[in-house]
Amino acid sequence: MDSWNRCKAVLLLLACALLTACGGGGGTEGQANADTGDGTVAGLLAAPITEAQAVRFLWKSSFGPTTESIARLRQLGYARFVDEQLGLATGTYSDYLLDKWAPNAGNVEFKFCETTYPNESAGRCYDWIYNRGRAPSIIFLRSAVHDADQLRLRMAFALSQMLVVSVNSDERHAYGMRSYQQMLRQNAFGNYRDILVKVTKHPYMGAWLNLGGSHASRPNENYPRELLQLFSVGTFLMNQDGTYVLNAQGRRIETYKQAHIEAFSKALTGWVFPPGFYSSEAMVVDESRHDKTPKILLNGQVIPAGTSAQQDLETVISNVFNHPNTGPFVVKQLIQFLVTSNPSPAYVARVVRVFNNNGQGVRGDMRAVVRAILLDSEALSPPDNAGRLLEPVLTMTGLVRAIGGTTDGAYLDQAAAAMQQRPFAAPSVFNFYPPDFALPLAGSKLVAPQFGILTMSTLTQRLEHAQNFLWAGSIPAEAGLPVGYARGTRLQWPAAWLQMAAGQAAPLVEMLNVRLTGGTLTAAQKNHIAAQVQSLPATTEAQRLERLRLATFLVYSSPQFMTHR
Amino acid sequence: MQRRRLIQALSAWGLRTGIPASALLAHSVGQSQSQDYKALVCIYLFGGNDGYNMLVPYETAAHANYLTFRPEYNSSTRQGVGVARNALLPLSVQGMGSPQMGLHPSMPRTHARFGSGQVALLKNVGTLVEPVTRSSYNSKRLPIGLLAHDTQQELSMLTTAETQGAGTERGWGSRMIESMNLQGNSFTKVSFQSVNRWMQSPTQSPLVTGANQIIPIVQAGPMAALIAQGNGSSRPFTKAYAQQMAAAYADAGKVNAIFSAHSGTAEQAFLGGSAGRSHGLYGQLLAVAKFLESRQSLNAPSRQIFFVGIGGFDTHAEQFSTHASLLSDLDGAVDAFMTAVQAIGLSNQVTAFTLSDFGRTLRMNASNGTDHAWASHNMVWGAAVRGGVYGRDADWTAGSEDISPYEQMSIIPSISVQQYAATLSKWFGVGDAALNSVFPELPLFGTANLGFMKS
Repeated sequence: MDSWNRCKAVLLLLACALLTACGGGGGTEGQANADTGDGTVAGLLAAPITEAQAVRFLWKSSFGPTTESIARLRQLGYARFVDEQLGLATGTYSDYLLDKWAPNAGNVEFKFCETTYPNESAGRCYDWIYNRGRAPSIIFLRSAVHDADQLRLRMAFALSQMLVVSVNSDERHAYGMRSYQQMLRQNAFGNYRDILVKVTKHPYMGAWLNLGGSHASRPNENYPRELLQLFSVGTFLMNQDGTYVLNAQGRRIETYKQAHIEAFSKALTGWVFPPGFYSSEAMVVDESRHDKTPKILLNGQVIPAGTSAQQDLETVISNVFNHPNTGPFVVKQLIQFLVTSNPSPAYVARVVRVFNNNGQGVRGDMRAVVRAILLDSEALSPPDNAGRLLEPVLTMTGLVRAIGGTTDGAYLDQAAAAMQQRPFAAPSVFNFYPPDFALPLAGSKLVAPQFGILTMSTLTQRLEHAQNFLWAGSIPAEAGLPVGYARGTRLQWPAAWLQMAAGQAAPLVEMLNVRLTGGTLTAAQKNHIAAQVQSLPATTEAQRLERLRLATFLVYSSPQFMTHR
Repeated sequence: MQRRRLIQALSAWGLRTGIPASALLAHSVGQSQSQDYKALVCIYLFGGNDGYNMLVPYETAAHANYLTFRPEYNSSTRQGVGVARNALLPLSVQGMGSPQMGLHPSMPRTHARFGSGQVALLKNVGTLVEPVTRSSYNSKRLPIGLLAHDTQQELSMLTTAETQGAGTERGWGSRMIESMNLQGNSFTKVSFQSVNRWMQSPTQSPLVTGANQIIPIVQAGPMAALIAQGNGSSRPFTKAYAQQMAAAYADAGKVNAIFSAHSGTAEQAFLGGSAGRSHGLYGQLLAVAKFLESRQSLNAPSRQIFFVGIGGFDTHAEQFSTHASLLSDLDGAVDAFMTAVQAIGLSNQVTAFTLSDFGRTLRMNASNGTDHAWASHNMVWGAAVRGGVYGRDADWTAGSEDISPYEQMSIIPSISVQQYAATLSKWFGVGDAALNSVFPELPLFGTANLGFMKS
């Protein structure tokens, strides 16, 4: 840092010491949007990062802040931290038992388990490979807590909620789902066009939305419809800032008609499952099933007669990828998953510009898009109505990561399922919740997707599971899971926190306020929690642990924690 | 492991969501006990139910015609989608000669109730903004996003032609309730399936919870202050979440009391009727039956609406056995439910009806399934129903006025969701004057009251 910036930083620290508004004090809520520096994004990026700010940024760019990631972010600054994350090697979802699938081998699972993994029972093997929803979700959650490529995992999880496939169907094969999700993880910072091609060709998607086997005699419309509606252009025309285009009567305008769906369906005929089904990442062509008549795509683009299945797929993907709607449609949802449910049109527009052109003439560069999303002033210095309800998966991964511990993902999978967000097990291709679900607050016009699965049951499950976890300390390996994988979940409370629990409650509560909520509890809440904690004895280690559990639980349960900015 | 459960009634807080302080007193608190009580149960079939295999032409020539669109299912080859004529359950309507329509073989209990005059079948219902035919297609306003799951689900639950965006939408379930000036509470609208747009309202959230699931009431004591402070936040997300939290803590005790009791009349009658089944739709309707029985303990108003549903109806491939199984669950669960309703003396006061995204293509596709389409058939159950088959048949001849010119083999509805909903609303007690404000497009359609409910 040069001498002028050092000077500014010192002055700023002095200013903060004098003013109570900087870190949250008095009767006001914690100031989560302290606009440090000179107010511009350059200033935001250059200014030193407080612990609270680091926490809030890590809730956007990882599966929850850890002691290590907070320190790293504060050391590098936002931009270099993001670049470091972008440069990390892609992690791998565990392929235990899922790696040695023998194509065309029929009911090979039992024999395979018995010979190759003799310590696993055939039943456990079978359940792991076939059991509806659990293996892919469990291995994902282990990665979300432990793997280093955190930002990539956040993007992959966001993409999995936009380009949805689900085990909640007849497709129960864990290795196929793992292959699909690993593909999203691998390509999360690649190009969106490539992602669309790979998604279209993946056998798991081919089975989920019936593209596999679609025949010219009666083209299947399921995948083409969702490609248009959910994966690229969306139902209604948008401006480049994500707002809807309205006609003279003030109504929205449809992006495509049924005739387009029929044309796309014809164009995408001719793909069939490869030998071994999921042992390959791509379907293969059967030209005899492919429709060779002319088709008219979006914006009047014509596919002439006589083209091949491969050519048509490429033309179709280019057609939707290049449509101006795809930028705002995709970007707005990515911002919702990473940062805030209601980005301003200006914020959306800034990021869409990067989607349209990353600065080197490339459209769809996801690396550049993620940078633009996270390093925007609206992400770094959020306005008051900003924020989102933490999705259930994040509440649990965040808790484990904030405190410290290890998990094989199984307990988190059960918790996520109880909160209606078992990863990769959405009830339909429309994900767990819609992007435009209205915030249930009289007089509000905000959307709040995650409120779409907030019921009396799931809300109380957020608290119940956290309570179980915090008071158990250790959850044993689940009986039905493969013994070579299952390890259970174990909390490891930091020694420093246990020590703090021996003393006055207020500093302990303030520490947890910063570490979990990013400093957004009100003074009244902190006083209340501290009083609850203070009333417990603190002589023995067990008693201090009790205080620590209660303090953590109450901070975690607060509405402020659950609704992040 | 120590578990902390402080069961504590928290109704003293008065932290209710969005109830106006000055509620009108058109109905007193004890009203729900009287004969003026009514409940509507929406059974949502997610994915687009193939009504054309649920209610099938039975007359010989008509059935033969039906098979030209969807060849008869062969259980050995597993090809085809159509239901064989000799498998259908013929629906005899008094004074109408030999049966014209038959029910899918998976629905024998509904067939029996139809025979007792307690089931109405409505033909060719769908989302519409105004009446439309093939010739007038290009000059009429059409529903937005035809054939798409999410927009059509929305429209079937909202009925308004154009959604106005977050914060303004009221499902027609909520509009019915709000037009009646009830002294409602948090149990006025209850869903055991999911949060849904039918019950959506900017001013009153429904109670949504898992059927028959006990709600853990976690550390209620310390939580109270946190919730109150969250409720005081100026930040909309924080405040909204705190309100949901407050409602959960306030109402969980009552919900748990109902779900933990297993010896009541409703449950015994239901499980007897369902041969012990209580999963899926069975479980949801069991929960409704128990709530109906306990409506006094909930201080329920004189009108309640319930939302239940199941998914799996998006049968693009290998339709026959999946659909048969779903219809069997529908048939069994509603039958057990009506048995329970009768056992608790509410036969004339509870009506259940189906709703779905859309119907499916008349013509089978290459995967032994059907694709998204438009009009479909629906069902209404209850002793207050005037049993029969309503609506008219569509002309399935290629190029007919009933077939959409663009949406392949989609039948244009001849009954709008507005008319369907308005008929139910009228029975429910929405006044004639209010009906047109609850359903603004209603005057565009000929008949506001389709007549399938006794007055």
